[in-house]
Amino acid sequence: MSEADDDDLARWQDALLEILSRGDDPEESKAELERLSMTMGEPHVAYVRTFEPRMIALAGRLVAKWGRRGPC
Amino acid sequence: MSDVAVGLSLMPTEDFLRATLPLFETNAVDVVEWSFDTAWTDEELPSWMPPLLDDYAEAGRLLGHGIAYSPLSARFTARQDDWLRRLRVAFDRRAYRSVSEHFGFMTASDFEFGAPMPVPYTDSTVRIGRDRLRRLKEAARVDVGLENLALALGTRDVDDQGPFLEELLSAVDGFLVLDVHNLYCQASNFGRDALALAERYPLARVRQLHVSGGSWSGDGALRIRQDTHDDRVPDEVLALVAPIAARCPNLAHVILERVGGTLRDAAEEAAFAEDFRVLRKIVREG
Repeated sequence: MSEADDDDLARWQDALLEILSRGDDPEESKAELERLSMTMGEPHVAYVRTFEPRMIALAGRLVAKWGRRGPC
Repeated sequence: MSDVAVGLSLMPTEDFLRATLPLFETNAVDVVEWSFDTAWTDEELPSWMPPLLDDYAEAGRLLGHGIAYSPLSARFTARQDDWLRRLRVAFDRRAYRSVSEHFGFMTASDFEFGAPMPVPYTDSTVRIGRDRLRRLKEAARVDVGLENLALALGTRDVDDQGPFLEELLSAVDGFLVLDVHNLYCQASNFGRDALALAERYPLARVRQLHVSGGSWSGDGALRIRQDTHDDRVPDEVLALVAPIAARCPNLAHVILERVGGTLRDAAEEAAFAEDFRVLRKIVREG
């Protein structure tokens, strides 16, 4: 696997935390995550399609509770 | 299971001290686990803690459990490099038997701390995780392990985590910290049988079990079990300990966890100590 894969994954992880931190409607968050995952190929899209909105909502609450921003 | 040590995850709080002092005074605590990266120096700790850590370290009964390494973050950052440098100093100062961390990632974008999140099981994420575990082992110079994650965003996370952990840990001959409450969370939230789910994990790699309580949120179909570590260990989790332990031939330690500051009164402190005694009895009697 290439560095490009790592860059894609890094951008995906950035986006996941940002989207979760917004606390949007979890259905809308899932749709946005699905769109973003399309650049990473069908396996990743299939992975995101398994996400359950109630668990996205929980993950958002966890990011809101524990997430701390700063220079990484 | 008479040779399995039963211990506590240390918390630097007065409620934890009040609850556990009778256990320490009667030598009931075989082993302690300490999240060293919550306070890198002894000066940040209450005065009773450094001597306790020293005693257990000198007896070879101190386990390290990090919370902020973020081993599956795609980018290896200066923050992680600094974390490893600090870990090296901490492990030079005190003899830890092993070090473990949490499956998943918490740092990305400009988040420098958070709750661990799941990652997809791919060749890339396996390679990244193996690299981070090798770095961890090189820095700590003790055996390294990972703890299973409570949070799953979907069924793929539930089904993949066991084989994913095996691929990661096999690269460093690492061990699995199987958190029974985390397993219970996933089983409850996705309608699975907890023991069947446990069988998906590399049980021969389990050296530690974590046991804790948690909480429920939501109602009906939206009801979710959360790994909040702020309540007593439920009977359903205690009932899983013996059958899971029996499936783990290399189990060495069972650790009871509770977040410091969540024991609200004397009754809750007594109940926590009672949970420990019950857990110890279960482990001893098998």
